[in-house]
Amino acid sequence: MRISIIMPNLLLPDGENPVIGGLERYAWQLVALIKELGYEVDVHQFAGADWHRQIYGTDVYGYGMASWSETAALEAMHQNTGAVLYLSIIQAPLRYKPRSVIVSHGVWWDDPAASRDYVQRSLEVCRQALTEAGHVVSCDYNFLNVVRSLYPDLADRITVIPNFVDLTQFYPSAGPKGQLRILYPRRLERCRGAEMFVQMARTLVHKGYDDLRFEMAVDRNHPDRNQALLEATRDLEAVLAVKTYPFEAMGDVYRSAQIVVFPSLCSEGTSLACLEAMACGCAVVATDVGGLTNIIINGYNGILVPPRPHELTRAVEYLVCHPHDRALLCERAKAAARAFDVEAWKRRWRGVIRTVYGSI
Amino acid sequence: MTSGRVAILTTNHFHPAGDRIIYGGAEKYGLELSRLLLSLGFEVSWWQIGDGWQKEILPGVLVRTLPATEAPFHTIPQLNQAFHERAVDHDYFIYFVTFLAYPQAMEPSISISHGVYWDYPGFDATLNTEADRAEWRRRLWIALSGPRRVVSVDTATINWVAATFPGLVSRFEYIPNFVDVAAVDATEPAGKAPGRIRVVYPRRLTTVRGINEMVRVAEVLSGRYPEVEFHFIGRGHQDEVEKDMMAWVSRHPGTYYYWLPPEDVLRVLKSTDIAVIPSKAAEGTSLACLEAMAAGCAVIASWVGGLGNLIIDGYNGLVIKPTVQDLLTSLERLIRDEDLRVFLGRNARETARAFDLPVWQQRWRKVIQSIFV
Repeated sequence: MRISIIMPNLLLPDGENPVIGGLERYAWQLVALIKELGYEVDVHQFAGADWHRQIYGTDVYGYGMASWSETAALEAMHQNTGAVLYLSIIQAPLRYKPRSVIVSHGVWWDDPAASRDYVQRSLEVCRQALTEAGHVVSCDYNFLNVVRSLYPDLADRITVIPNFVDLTQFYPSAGPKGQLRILYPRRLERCRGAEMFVQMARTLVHKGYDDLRFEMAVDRNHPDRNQALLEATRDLEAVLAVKTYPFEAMGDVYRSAQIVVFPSLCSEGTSLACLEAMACGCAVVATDVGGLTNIIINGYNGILVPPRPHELTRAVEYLVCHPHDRALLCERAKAAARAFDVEAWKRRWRGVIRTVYGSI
Repeated sequence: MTSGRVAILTTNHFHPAGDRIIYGGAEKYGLELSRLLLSLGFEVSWWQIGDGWQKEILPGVLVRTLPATEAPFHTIPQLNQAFHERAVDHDYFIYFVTFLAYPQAMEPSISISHGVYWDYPGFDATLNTEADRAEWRRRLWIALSGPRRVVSVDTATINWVAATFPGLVSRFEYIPNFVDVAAVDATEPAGKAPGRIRVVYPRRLTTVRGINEMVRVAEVLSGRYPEVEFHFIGRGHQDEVEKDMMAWVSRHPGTYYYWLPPEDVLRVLKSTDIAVIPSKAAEGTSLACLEAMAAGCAVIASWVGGLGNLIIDGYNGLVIKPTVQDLLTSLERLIRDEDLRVFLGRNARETARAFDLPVWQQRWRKVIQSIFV
């Protein structure tokens, strides 16, 4: 039996380069797991032209008509597939296939600048997904709780499977770390709060913390944004580095940092990066947005702050000045991260896949 | 010279002498908040629904009553109006429940959200039409936008607001509930026969708290594991419910039903192996859950509301969907796996320290000092 994964972008629209982001890593993990269970698997995605690629032995199909109608592309995907798994809730109008699984990566419409129309539309999209699909897998309790507060009758269709961390790749550093490094390991999307990180760095530098080093490990999905960030942080270039790394290098990047910051404004699930930073024994400062609140217990295994610049700055400054407390948070973050071991994630997903798609 | 006079408006969680007493989290929260305000030099008075009685709940702290008979769209405008007329000689105001700030909020004021309370299917039946539902949401929006700060006991509420009323979230402040760790540590455990495994459900006997699921699970497991004892500790809202529960335990060996004052519940929790918090809805950062954690119990909690702020599944407790099947599986797993019980209980006890009363007081102090000036 074949399970087809439907998702916006595993590869960039030209089909040449992989997209860098959590959704894509989630997809690869799931592809491997489905194969492991003995099903066949392929991926169908939006694209700028029709193409077919084989990546790591998996067929990936791009649908060019997405550039003028995502709904039309989705309909074509439905025609070309049998059993499907939607890797995210789809924004474009469509009818979900019955007996399918949809993955929710958290509430995405909680943008403080969102219009009421956008919120209303997003809620309708959620209601439809929950009504039509047999099963929704949510990566955090927050999405579930928001849904229950809106549509109490639909909440039981949700199964929560928190995100994962691969502990063989993300483990603490053996020796002591050198200079105090503060890391932002996220994409350059507005909702991820890169600006708030820069503001925090600038405030601390102006306050006289000369020996801190800041690093932003970002994506290259939109090179113009990287350029804009470089220009906006020119005044800090002696202490703040903007870099991009291949995913394989991220373990070392976390291990070289003491404090890792997740300044998201909105649209958060149980962030893979946050779990990875924890597993590497970093002290985490995160905003109390979305699923981050299901990973970090404020003052226990990290610090949670509201998404406001001065609160974020104060929390980072506190950790800079209190190495003992910082060490305590690191220890507990490391211990808690073990509960998110990828093996536990696989065990839960196996159950869902067998229940929904049945025997091979 | 005092720092000023604070008037706190609540619904009806204090009771005149002689009435049915249900020890709930709200009352405990109210007392600690009063003590904190007193320690900061404020005078404190409470106002709630009632027919004219008064009661002193702490030295110098009176509960006064106001008339209110109707609660349209889950708000109590009569009470809000009466409060505005009677409490004008106060300087600062706290709406102990968010919807009490409808239709107007005194200046300056803080309101408190104890968690989402509308996330069960039955709530929908209280608002019969789309128009009624829209009116309820409109009133809730007004109630949430009046006070200068809304203190929320969990992030589930904050995230619901962020996903529902864009822009309103900036006035929210997350202050999770507390547990008095020193008091828990100093409590002597209640006796327990050697070799027994004690499972406790320390909640009221109500549907939203998952009583029905827990009863069903105890029914199955008490037959399977004679070494396990199941304690149900909490009152029902009607005599009939309590009577039914007593009749039920009399038919099931190994099950017990009773209620105790809060300090004695702690004694039982201290000798409890597994505490169960299977709420189906209307849950914040449950005081009962925090107490069980501080007492070192292995906790099984549902993934509802604020419980996801307290428990990380497989680290300091187990997080489940509140169904009979999931509760049964997880409880059986813990009954059979002593090492896991001990591991979860130890981590829970350590986690509870992050919710210690002094931490809560410090967070509240910051809010009070920024608004009541």
